[in-house]
Amino acid sequence: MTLTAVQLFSPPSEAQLLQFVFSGLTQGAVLALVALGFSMIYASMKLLNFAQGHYVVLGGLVTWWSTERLHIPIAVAVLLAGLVVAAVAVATRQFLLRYARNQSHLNAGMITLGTGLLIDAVILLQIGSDPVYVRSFLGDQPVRLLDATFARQGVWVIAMAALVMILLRVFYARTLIGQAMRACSMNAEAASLMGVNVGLMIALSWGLSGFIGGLGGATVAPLVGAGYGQGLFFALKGFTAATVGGLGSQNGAIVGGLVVGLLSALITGFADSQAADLVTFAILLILLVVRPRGLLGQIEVGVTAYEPLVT
Amino acid sequence: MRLRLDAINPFIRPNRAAAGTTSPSLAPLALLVLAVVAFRMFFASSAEVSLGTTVGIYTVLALGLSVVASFGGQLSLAQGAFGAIAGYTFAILTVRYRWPSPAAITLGLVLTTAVAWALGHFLQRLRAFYMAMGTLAFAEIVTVLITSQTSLTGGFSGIPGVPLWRIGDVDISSLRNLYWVVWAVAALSMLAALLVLRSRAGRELNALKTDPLAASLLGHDPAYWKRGAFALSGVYGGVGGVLLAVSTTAVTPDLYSNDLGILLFVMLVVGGWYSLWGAPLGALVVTGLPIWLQAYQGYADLIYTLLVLLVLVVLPRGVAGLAADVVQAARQLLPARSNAWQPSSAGAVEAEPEPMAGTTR
Repeated sequence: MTLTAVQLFSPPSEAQLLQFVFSGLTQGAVLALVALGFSMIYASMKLLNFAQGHYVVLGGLVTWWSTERLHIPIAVAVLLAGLVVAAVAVATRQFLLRYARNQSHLNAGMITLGTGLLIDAVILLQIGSDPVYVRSFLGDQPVRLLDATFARQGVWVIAMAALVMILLRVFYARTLIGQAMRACSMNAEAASLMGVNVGLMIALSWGLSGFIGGLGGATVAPLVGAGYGQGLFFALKGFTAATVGGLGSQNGAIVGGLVVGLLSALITGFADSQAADLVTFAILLILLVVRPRGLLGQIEVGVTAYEPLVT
Repeated sequence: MRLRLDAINPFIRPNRAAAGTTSPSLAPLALLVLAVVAFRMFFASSAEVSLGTTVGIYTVLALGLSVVASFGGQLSLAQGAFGAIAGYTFAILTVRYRWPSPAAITLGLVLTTAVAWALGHFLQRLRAFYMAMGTLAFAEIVTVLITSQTSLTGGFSGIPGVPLWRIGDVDISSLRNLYWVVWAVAALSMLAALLVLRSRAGRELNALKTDPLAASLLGHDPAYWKRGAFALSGVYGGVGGVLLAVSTTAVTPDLYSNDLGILLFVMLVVGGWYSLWGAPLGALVVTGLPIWLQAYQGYADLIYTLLVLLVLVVLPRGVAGLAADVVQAARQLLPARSNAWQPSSAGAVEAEPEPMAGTTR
């Protein structure tokens, strides 16, 4: 894509603005999924999962692997990506966090950071340091709307995120397991006295957060690719989204994702992506100082590093 | 969990066994000096000397992290960024403005310390993970600033030609001399950190780590000591950053990338973040392992991260903790001495003050 000098220095047309907004919605959808993953695990065991961004990259990698190498149809590959990442997440909790001899939050957080580094090492081993791109689901033909052109894959990303959000809402509100998970995040002890298997619910939270991370990664991989070192960046941006909206709230994750996504897409459009990163992370820093619980958050954030973990 | 008054109140002289890390012994420092000299006597090839130098630089950087992480109980991922601030200030002033090295280094250190103090000041309300994310955001901002301000920092290609460092006729930034300079600085840094932790500041930080709420109820200001710990980590980060610039004779964004912040953190974890000795041990293991693993080609990264995870799960006190346990076990094998002169560990536990009514939770 080449921009002429005239395009660069003229104010953006309506079509361009529309394009920025669409790209912002696409980014926002992925960030909302990452933010939601953070929220789920934080709600279940007051732990921040530093590998949350790596789950997205791993989802993309699994999709690439199964479509390019194993020639599995894309719909199955996306589902497979979700399941594989969910398995990785559950394994993190079952085999690493539960058997850690030091059950402090600080140590648990470092273990999740370690699993993120492990995923990075696997990526490096499989594909090297250059990212791989999955083929777009239905071709690269851009969508035209009101003079603006959108990447077709973006529609998929937004649709997938919307579907996940709606299904999760129904799951948490209507099903017994969803209600049990909510009960555990409110008061694990009381929930266990009521006969809820708290350990199972925590494992489910990990599985779900891995699953949605993997799905998000599978759908966004045609646009941004999956590669070494992207994970922590996704995590930081997703965490910014979670912090803007408020950690632990589903609406917060959506609002935060959209705010961060739109903001960085617009700044990228008007200036460049470095300025967008600068503003995003400055917002995170300022929010952390001024209002750590975010716009819609209710969770009081203040776990001491040495508090024992509920596993 | 009960309140441990001796750990909380810095005016009560710490019971060594109960307070654990509050009063670290200076004795292993001699061992460190011995190891540094011995390494240079047995390993003379330039690759080995440069490895030794790198370990020394990482030790200094990781020490700063250790002060914040193991004694303030905070996760900081900004240590690499502190190094970048000092290194770039040093390089910009000497290369672009022809400042003399000592003045450039001084300004770099002052700037880094001030920035670190300010970061500690603004983020002091945050606990554990939020602190980690806040410091990571700060590190990202520093990286973006460095790569985008091309006219000042040279962008991605950095600033080459950081001046060689001379005192009189001796070029101390040559490979072989730098080893001694770096390790002299590292040993002094270690001594300074040990002295700080043996002082009131160390007990304050330990109180803060053990129970911030109880410490503040007893009238100690967590914010004050947190800022202090951050400023100190800034000093260490600055010194390490300048050494890194001198050793590579160039500063690039890659040299101080966010990976450095995380790498330092891994060092602290592997070395053991309950003890200051985790810094040199972790630096040694983390720098040495990849070289040792080179034989496994592409699998080196994988084996390496698996080992890190293994340490996290089974050795939560890291290599330093393992060493301490071995020393402890060896001491108990010498029955006469330990019975006659010092209470055994079981005795020390009995000597711990009983919890007062109302202090249990």
